[in-house]
Amino acid sequence: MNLAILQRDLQHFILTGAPGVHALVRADTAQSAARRIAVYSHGYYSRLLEVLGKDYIGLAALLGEDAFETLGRQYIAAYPSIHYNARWVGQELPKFMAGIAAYRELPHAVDMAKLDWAITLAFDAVDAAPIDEGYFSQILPERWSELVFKFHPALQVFAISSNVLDMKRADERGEPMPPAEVLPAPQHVAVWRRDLRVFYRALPEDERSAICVAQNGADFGTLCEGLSRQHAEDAVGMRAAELLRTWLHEQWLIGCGVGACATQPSPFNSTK
Amino acid sequence: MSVHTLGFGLGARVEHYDDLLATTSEVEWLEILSENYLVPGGKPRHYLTRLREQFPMVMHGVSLSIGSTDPLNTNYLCALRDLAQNVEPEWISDHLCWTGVEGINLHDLMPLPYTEEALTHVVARVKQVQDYLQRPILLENVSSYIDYRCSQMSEWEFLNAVAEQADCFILLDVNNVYVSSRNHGFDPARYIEAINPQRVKQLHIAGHDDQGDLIVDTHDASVANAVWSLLKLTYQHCGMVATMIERDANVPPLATLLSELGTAREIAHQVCR
Ligand SMILES: [Fe+2]
Repeated sequence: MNLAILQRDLQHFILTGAPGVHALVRADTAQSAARRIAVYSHGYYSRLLEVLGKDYIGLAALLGEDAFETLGRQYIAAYPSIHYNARWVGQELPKFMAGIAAYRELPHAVDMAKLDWAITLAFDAVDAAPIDEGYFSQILPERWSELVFKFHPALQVFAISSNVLDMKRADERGEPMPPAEVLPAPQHVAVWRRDLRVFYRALPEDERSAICVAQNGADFGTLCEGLSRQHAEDAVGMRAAELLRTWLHEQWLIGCGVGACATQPSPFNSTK
Repeated sequence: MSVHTLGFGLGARVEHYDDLLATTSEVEWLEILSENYLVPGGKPRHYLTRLREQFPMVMHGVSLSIGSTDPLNTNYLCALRDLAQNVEPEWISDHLCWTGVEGINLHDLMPLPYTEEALTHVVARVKQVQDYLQRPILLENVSSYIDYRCSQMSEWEFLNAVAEQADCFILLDVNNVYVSSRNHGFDPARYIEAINPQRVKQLHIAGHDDQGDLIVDTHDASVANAVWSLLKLTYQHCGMVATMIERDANVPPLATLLSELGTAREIAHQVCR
């Protein structure tokens, strides 16, 4: 029998549990052949469910074992693993959930899936060395407004519409999750890695827009301009300095420099 | 005892990272599951670097899918080569199996039919991989629960032929020989004695789950007595070969695995002195 056909057929039996595998494999009876194939079918689903369970800890706790397994099986059937690394199996789960009517009525479940996946991504995102305060002390005061920032690749910002941060924190402390609530307005969340640990927190609106502006490559002057729309003029400098200190402490910043123009003189104070 | 083997090693498991870094010479080398470190950064790569400073390493993969009729995954090969450049492993191994077709990954080690067609197919692909990685690879015999009607030769004949024709090496998993022997009703001693000892570079031992009608390779228990006996036979047949214990689930404290490793050492000393 042609190898390609054999592999295609066998894979079909494993994924679907369809009858007829006795024609391919040696066994005393058709039942015995089915039992042997079932070891592989069971292995396939249980292995991927295990990966999903590790990547979606909050969601698994929120839905409970049975509902999580049902969702996981539907998802695996719709999105068979195509990557060489099982680490990516869960990549499309938030999208998959958003497309299911039942989950559109549970926005907190979709939010939790997004949060869990962001945490998974931050865990092994590419390494980058954070900058420290000393880095800023070298910058000439007149060049500050031109500074652009580079953020750590593990940092992710996204919106949620429910109280999943509280739910996740409770679960991490081993406490029961509070009841799900829809927030009065969408809330932005940051997920990041500091040293080797992953963190998450809510972002105030001014900080969210400052990050958004800075991540898009705008300079510090533009960032302050944005803040001035949300703060009194004399408070803008303080707030900007506070944000930078926070971002440094949380290891979100991995570099800064002056814009795209490489021919400009260095923004750094050469005398130090 | 030959001085040209790595000795006795363990798989690098997250649960043991810190204990391994603090351990002395009882663990002579580590086997890493390549896919666990084919990630951009963070904790896995951090610990890999630290462990590598302390231990010789071999890289063991599960995604090569050497027997699949899908094209070889060049993204995977490229990532594997990059990792090998970092790790500088003693060798790289994977399994004599296929893991999926039509772009799907079953994340399982599917046995091949032991036919001339499959042999030709696998040999050509092993050569391609070895050219790409610029080194010979080791292929491991898998545990299996099915046996194809179209097979024309025994698994050991097939394994020997692949190693010979592709000029690669064998990672002989003694537990897998036992598991498959029980599932398919062959004599495991006959399998081991038929393997070309010149090609065997590494051994795996592990625990399994006896479900009565089938034995399932679970790596979640201590090594069974029957497998210890087969390990002894393997040393008698092959001489001393680098040996490691695979434990992937229900992972016990490091000390438990060290004591199992001690048992393997004793058997080797009895046989190979
Ligand atoms: Fe093995």
